[in-house]
Amino acid sequence: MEILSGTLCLLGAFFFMAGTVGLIRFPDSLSRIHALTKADNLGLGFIVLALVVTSQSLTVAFKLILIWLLALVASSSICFFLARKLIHRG
Amino acid sequence: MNQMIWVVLLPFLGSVVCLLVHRKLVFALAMAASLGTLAVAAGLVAHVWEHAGARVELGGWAAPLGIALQLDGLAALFLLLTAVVGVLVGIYAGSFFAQTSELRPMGIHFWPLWLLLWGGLNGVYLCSDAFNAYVLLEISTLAAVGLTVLSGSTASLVAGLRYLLAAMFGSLMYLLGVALLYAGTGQLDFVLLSRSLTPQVHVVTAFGLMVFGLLLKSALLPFHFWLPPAHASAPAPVSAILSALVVKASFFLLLKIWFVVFDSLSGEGPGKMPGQLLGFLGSLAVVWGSFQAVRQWRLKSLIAYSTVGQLGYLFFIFPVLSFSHSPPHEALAWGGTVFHLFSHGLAKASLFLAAGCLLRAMGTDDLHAMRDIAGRMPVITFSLGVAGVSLMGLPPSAGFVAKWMLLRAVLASGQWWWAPVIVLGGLLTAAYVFKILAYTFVPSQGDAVRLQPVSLAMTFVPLALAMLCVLIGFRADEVILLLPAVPGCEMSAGGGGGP
Amino acid sequence: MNLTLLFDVFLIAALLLVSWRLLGASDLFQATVLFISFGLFLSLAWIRLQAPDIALAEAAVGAGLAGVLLLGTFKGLEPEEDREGENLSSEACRLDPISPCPGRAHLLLAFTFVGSMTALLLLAVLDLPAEGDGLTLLVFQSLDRSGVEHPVTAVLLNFRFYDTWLELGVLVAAALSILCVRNRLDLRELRPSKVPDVMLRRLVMGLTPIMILVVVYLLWLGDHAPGGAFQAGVVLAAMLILLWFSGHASITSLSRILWLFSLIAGFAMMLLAAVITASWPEMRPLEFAEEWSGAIILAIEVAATLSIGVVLSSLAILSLGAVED
Repeated sequence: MEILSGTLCLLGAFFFMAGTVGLIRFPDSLSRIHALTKADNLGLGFIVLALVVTSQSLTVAFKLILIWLLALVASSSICFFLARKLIHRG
Repeated sequence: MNQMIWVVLLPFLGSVVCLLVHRKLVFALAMAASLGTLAVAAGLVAHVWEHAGARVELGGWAAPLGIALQLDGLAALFLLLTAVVGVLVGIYAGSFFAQTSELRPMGIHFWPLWLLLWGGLNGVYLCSDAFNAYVLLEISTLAAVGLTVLSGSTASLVAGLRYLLAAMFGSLMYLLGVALLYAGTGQLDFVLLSRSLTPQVHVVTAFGLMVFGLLLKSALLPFHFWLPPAHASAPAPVSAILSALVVKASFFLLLKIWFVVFDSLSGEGPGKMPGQLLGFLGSLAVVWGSFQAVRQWRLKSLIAYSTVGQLGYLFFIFPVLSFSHSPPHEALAWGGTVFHLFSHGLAKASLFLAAGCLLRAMGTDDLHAMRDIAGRMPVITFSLGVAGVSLMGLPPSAGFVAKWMLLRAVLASGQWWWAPVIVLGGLLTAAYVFKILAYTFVPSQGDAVRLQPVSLAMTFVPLALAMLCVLIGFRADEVILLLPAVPGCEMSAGGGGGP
Repeated sequence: MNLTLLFDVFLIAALLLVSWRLLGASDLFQATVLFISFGLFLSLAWIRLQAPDIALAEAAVGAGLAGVLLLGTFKGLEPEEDREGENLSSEACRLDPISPCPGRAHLLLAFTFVGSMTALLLLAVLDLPAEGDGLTLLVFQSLDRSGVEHPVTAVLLNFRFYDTWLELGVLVAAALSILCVRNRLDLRELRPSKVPDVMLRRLVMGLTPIMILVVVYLLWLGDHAPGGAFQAGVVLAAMLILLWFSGHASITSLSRILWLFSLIAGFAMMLLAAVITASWPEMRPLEFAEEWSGAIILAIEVAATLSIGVVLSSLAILSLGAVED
């Protein structure tokens, strides 16, 4: 279990890292948002999964997954709003 | 002694009710709450007169865990002053907001905010807990700022924001001091704190922070910058409340902090220095504030600067009492300070309300425009005169008793160097009072302003306040007899102890 | 152990860095964003100090609500015509056009003051006794007589009920003061400055039930774990602001009297408790009988949550909203 959660954590961290590198390296705002939201959602997913694996009870696991879903909804909507604003501005 | 809490409950109750009822009922209900508070306050004064102070533990939780209310002579007198000024200003405000159409429907917010402020002030007087005092100061400050910006004019918004920032900064400094004390001792109750303090670095720092914060809020000279614009740009009843009562609440707390909590620290040895410093700043305030008042040409600014000057007199108690703890000076200094509080509170409320009448009648408060006012508005002019006499300290007013006692206290404690300041302040006060009065007697040259009518209530309330100010001068003995129950002298009244 | 120490060092460094950048920011928008991130770091610091209640409040108010208010003010400071892309300099922050703020003398004074304050506080904190833990022991000893199981709730709503009640009074005073500043009697007719779009409406509609659930959960949690009226109230406020912002029915649809009722519900409820206990002959003011105190505290918490949510969202709406002509 420990090993599994550790691996998942590292995997999550890798995606976060990738997202951050994208944020810094990509040329324009649209691709930066793309990198940030896609990679970070995945990264958060892996970390939540890692915590679910080690969690004591089913309720905690359920709450963790709920948090991930909420973050997913929030970040994708915000990504949409930002992107639309950027496109409208031209 | 459980009825003590009613001086806080009644104004709050009035505030909530005034917020919810129909606008026609607001004035009647607010006056009911005000008169009820006055009655309870009078009852508390009678209680202190007959039995000395009392202490109530709220919720039945004893001091280190819970919060206590403490009633003593000083608190009772402050409650009485607030109630008397509060009721009279309330009568005036009812007429003022009904008449002044430019204050629009916003006048309706006056009552909830003022009653909230009143409850907060009464809470400060009964407070016996350092953190609770902070919350009470916050509620008073926010309500006072709300009242300042009631008129919505740009000048009042700028003044109100400055007032808010200065007062918040003062509160935060105070809170920082409270946090240090709590971290050091684990106590918040005034009496318990005073027993557990020893002169260590953090205690001295806390003392400095708390005193600094409260000085900022009570507008002692270098920290007075926020006061004149705020008090001058608020509507007249609000100016009266701010000048007569709100600054005094922070001063009251300063007295408690200085003479109850840090009594062992501020009294002896190197503790003399802060007392002398406060006395010095106080005398600077007396001279500078009065001097600035003489230079003003707007009546309300003049009165506001006069507040800066008159507040300076309150701070002579610190050097006098930190020099020598012998009973005669102590009684004189406390008596003088409390009398000054009373006379200034009543006289300043009267002046601001009279200025409000003039502003209403003339449409401006420029001194040049006040030609021939004495002939056309005799009652208002008379109130200005009587209140001015008390501010100057001429007999038989309360102002005279106050300054006489302060002078004797200063001389008896061997600190003659404060005496010239007291006298000079009186002369400067006379200068600005005569400046006001002189203009009212200048005959008009045919081009006088047409006066708008002013209601009877608005005319006679300033007069009533000014007359009270003279009359209380004849009741000096009773006030002094009430005062032995002041915090500095009677520590044992506080129960405290374990849970 | 070393890892947490490393984390703490990073956290402190981040806090200092962000606050330094914040002070140096020449652009108000940048400063606002930095302020929000400062709030988030600060709430992490509260978690490290094992104060989850304060961490929740700090994240919600210090980072969330204060950010909304600052951004709203920032929008209000923008000149009338839409000058997008142009940085707003700190010149615009002046309220008083006469005095140059901040001048060189102001800066010097501020630096001297802050420097000496920091030195003084450092000395004072180093001087504090190391083992003092305040009244923690006493609170735990009296917990079983308080009617709740969480010490913070017990302190806030029983031992120091008076303070909490007055704090709600502070909120009422703040709301009324802002009304005076905005020169309004109620919130009706205040609309968001932009026409809300369909996407946002759908999103908020979907999120609202979840947010209501969170409010109730936090409220219920306060009885035995970190949470309670304040945290729940802040979530409620966020929900009300989002609803308003996306064009749904929110507190702006309430009539003045209903809005005032919900504004003072908490304060009035506690006042009622105070009046009843003060007029009860054999009870002390604010004393609750042990068997009742749990129920009383719950009722008060519900009312307080409503008030806190309404006051905080009103503050935001009053500063963000505009009146349509």
